[in-house]
Amino acid sequence: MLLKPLILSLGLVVLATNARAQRAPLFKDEILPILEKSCTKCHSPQQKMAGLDLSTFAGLMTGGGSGPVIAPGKPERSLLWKMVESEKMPMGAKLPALDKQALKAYVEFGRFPKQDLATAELSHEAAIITDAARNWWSFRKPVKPALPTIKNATQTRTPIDAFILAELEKKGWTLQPEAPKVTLIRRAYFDLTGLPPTPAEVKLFLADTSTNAYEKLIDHLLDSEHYGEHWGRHWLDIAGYSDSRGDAGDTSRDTLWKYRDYVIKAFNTNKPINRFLLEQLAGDQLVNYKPGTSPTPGQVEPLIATGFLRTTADITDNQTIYQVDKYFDAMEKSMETSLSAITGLSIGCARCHDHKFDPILQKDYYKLMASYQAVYDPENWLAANLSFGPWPSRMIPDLDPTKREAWVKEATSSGAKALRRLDDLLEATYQRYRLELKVGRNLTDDHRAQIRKDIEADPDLQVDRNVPKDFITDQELEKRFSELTKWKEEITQKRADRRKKSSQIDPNFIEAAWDVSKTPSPTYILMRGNYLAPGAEVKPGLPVVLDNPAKPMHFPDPATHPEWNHTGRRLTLANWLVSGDNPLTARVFVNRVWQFHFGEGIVRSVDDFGKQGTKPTHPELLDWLTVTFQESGWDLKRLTKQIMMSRVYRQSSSEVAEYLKADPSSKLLWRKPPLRLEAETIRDSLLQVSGLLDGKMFGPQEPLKRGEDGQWMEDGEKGNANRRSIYLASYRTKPISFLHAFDAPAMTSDNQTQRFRSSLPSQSLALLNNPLVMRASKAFADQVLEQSRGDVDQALLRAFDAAYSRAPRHTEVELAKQAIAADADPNQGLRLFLQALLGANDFLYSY
Amino acid sequence: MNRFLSRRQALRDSAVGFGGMALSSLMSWDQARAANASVINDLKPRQPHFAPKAKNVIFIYIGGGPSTIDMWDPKPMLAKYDGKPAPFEIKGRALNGSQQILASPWPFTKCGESGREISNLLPHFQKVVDKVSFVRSMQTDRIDHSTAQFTFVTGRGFTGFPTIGAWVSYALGSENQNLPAYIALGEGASIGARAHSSAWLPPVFSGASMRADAASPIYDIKRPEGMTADRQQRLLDMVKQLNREQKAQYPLDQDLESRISNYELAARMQMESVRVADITKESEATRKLYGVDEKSSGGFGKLCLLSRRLVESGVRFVQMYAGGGGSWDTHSNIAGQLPGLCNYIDQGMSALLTDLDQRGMLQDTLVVCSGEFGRLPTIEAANAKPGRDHNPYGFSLWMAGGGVKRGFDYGATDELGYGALAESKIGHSHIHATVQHLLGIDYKKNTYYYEGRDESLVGVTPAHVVKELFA
Repeated sequence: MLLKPLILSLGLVVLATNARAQRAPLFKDEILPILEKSCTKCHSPQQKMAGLDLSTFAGLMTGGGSGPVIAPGKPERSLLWKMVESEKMPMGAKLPALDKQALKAYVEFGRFPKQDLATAELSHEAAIITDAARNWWSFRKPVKPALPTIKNATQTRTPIDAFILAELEKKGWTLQPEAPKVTLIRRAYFDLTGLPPTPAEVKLFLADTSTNAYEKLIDHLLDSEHYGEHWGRHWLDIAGYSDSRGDAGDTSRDTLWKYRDYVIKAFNTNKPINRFLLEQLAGDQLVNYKPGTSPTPGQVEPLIATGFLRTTADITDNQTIYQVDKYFDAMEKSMETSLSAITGLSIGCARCHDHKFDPILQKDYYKLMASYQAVYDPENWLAANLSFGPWPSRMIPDLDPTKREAWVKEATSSGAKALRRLDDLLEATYQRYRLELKVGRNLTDDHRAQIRKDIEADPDLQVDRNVPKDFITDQELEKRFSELTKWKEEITQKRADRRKKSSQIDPNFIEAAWDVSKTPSPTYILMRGNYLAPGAEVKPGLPVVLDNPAKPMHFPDPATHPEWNHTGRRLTLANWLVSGDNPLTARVFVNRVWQFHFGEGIVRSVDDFGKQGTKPTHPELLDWLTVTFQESGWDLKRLTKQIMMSRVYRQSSSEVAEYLKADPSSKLLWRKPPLRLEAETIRDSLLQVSGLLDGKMFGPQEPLKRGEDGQWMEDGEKGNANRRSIYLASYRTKPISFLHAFDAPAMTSDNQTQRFRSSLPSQSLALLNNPLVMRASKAFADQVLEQSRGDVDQALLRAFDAAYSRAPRHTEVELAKQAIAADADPNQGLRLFLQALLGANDFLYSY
Repeated sequence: MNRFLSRRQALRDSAVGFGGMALSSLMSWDQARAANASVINDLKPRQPHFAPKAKNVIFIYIGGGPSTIDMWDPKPMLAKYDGKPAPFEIKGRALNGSQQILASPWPFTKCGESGREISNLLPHFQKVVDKVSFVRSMQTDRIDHSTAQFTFVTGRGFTGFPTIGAWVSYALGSENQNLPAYIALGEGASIGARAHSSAWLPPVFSGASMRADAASPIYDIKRPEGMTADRQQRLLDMVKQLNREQKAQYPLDQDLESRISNYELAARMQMESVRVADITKESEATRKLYGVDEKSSGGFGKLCLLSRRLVESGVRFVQMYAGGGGSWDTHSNIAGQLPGLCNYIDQGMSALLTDLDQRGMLQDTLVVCSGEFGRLPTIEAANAKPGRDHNPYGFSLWMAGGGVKRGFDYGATDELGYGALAESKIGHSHIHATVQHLLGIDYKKNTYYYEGRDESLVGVTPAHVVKELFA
């Protein structure tokens, strides 16, 4: 509906009509001679300019660098015809009119024997999807390897250690000794909760001399509510979560926080990861949600989970023009980000052409896109929010029945839909007035009333807003017929009211993804990724290289499932992604988990398991972990414990000059690399240590304000400034300055699966001057002084305990006392020292 | 997302390591790049690919769509058709389309030796017009503000790509380690911080917001209440001592070492940015030249003066937003609005050219002034007081200094200023290629590995360096 007028208006070809009676031209007899005469000098098997060989039927159907050049039956979608028609080809010459006609006729209704077509496509595929391609390490199903034998058995606690030691021993290296208990507890707290341990917790752990004290600690932390807050944050990075849409005004996604809460809860309840992924990709289909209905209690959570497909930037808005490209942008972003999050493949390249490095065909990209077509259907677009178009929008009201009914009535009758209709009425009236005046009719009051009546009664009202107005302008019309101005004002008023109303989003709305219809518009291969150049139509499918050649994945026809309220496409795709047949999903996930513990993945390019990515440093370990993870029912907490119980994880981070020189990034894990804490952990730790942290969980995002110097920060007046960072509003255009300085992503476009751990002077400035640091150090000083009743030595003990989990060294006590003595106000002196404590490396790193 | 790659790993595993890499002033930029695609994460100066004509850029960003046919692109034929239908079809936006021509309500005056005509709305600019070259055949494929502004500074009509200032800082680093390499001045664009974002380039290359306020020019620069200079010095000393003691356990760690020196750097940044932002230090004559005390335009005058001080201090790329005088998006009442808008920028930007020239800085400093698109020669029909709708098909910008010819015109639009003539048509990506070239950067080689490919500012957009502009 939407595409057609657009394409036509851009002057593309309208089909010739009377040619239908002709006989179907044959390639070999009638077309090849033309091509040989005018095209194959450059587009030969040898020259292959633009990657195109026109000397055979297979070459013609395979196309070139910009994909297929012929869409059988559709000259307007065929690059070959478009080039010839516009006389861009043949270069420097002109095709005789007869040849041109013949070519067009061939594209239009030539014989494209199905068998030949299939052969052409297969030969193209076969050239790319070779056995070697299918056998690429990450495309092979992981197999659980035997544990390697090692010499130094005393250094192994778990199978993980054997794999790491096997590599170290090749160099004659060993692991570092186990880290001291106090280091271990800090490391474990930071890793699992994103907060430092309290002095009481440290004391308890140090006092526990039982052999399984450490294991008890890990179990305890995995049960902590803070675990979901910290690991939820990791996943939100991967999902590209943001509370804003990234459109022109970067409008708020008012209720997407429900998805954030869903993620936190999923981690805390240890939802099996396969289920977790399934819900996010296809929760609506999993529970057969019927669009327009009130979700049942069981449907609410899976619907919220699909917020995963709504996190990426979407720059569509309420303007009536130039939207189609943005529809495609939004669909592509959602697909590319969600799939790379899960499969670790960057398929974006294949949007415009076959992937240059990995065996991903351009066609594969669009086969995958077909699974998203019903959610982001460009020809049946679902407005991104309530002020951008009529309901149903992406917002599903989850209200009690009476409230809901009232809301729906408002939204559909007197709401945006009706308003749009009014708009059309007005525009049509202008047009009719103009027409009548142009043909010289006298517009009496009666006549005009009749016009209005007629238009109102016309259910198929067609309005072309683009008609020339130079005959008589809107202004002049309005001057002569005041009722037009009156109607216009009424509509403007209604529109303003409507905006006001719809901008108040009830917190009970769910921003979800669901299939708009069971029969989405067709998905086409877009030449050079351009939506104005659709090529052949594709059906949903898997990338050829990952599909079973003997039995390609079957996407059921929804028409044969009358009970379905959806296409079933995403569910089919998602089921395959989390099935045992999929070589990537579990591997990619396990690798991400490893990365969050050690700073780098076993495959360091965590989002690229293809040719351009890095090979695993310990491939067998990765496979062992992956298969074990799958066998456990995708149990994340179990995997986490497995990693943290290992000797590798528990070793110290100390330097060994010789090893460091040979392996400066500790790739072989001969030590636990020290890591600078993430932005949120630094902020949350500042709040916890100073006693300011408010542990309240869940709910709408906390508002932001501009600070005195213009930076974005927590708004303590309108909201709560002391909650964990995950609950602060995250807008693409309002990055919280303190977090941003420490590399928190603003999610300007898609997602960010690995944080920078930069070291910049702006971080030092934040630690010197940022209001948060001042607030925290003041509260910290007040707290330790109060707890120690003004005794400085006691206060220092408590401060070091809280910030560093240890007693101060002699030199540090001296330093503190000097600071207190040096200041006219001893309280300020202590605060200043504590600020130094919070700005030093001991506070900023996990060792 | 993909930032941490094989080549980076290769580098980190080499004997040089992370810290050693930072000393890339000793390495050519190419060497650094060859060693690794993505590790460049500091502002150390880097060698350009070839001898540069410009060292710094001041980029004046007129967000909203300035009506260049009413400012510096005279179209006398508009007067002939004023109030009448255009002689050929004007395809505006579907919404409020009209074919009725609106002549520029303001006279143009022939100026300078080059004899080019500039609107009387820009009396100061009329005097300096010989210093600039116009590109009169700009075109963009985006018609609404957000996508066109993304294209304007990132080359792509979508949110989330690095801006030109980030690419330039990434390529060249900075001459001054005590200031950010890339600074954004003034009220931002309607697309917010994305107009000077580094997106997926390392954060060190994102534009730092700065104000012409010596007390608090950059985020977290101002010492908070109660933090005297004396206290801050003690704070710095204590952090250093705590860090030193801790460092003894990790003697070889470069990251910890750099964090220690960053505090010293931060303290220097504090002093330096306050010094630069303090425009009261300028002579009375200079302040007057920029009109910093003018009620209606002093705000922009201050930014212009500050931008000169910044490039003088070695800042690589200054992006200045011209949005403080109202909205350039003059859909209605253009006659009422445009004079004020032009007045807001006229004196400041002209003074900037004069001042840079007088100081001999114009030869090293490239000044670019443009909007995301222009405005149509027709009136926008829907409004009682006429305005003009967006025109992405033809508009103009000016460039000066930094190796650009003086008094030169490149390209043209048709007689009505509607569409760029086919033979000279260029887009924002051409400007991106050209600006990089003037800075000595091969725009095809200035790449960063992201999401499976080597990305660059120009990318696969067909574009080339507009050498005709070069002096």
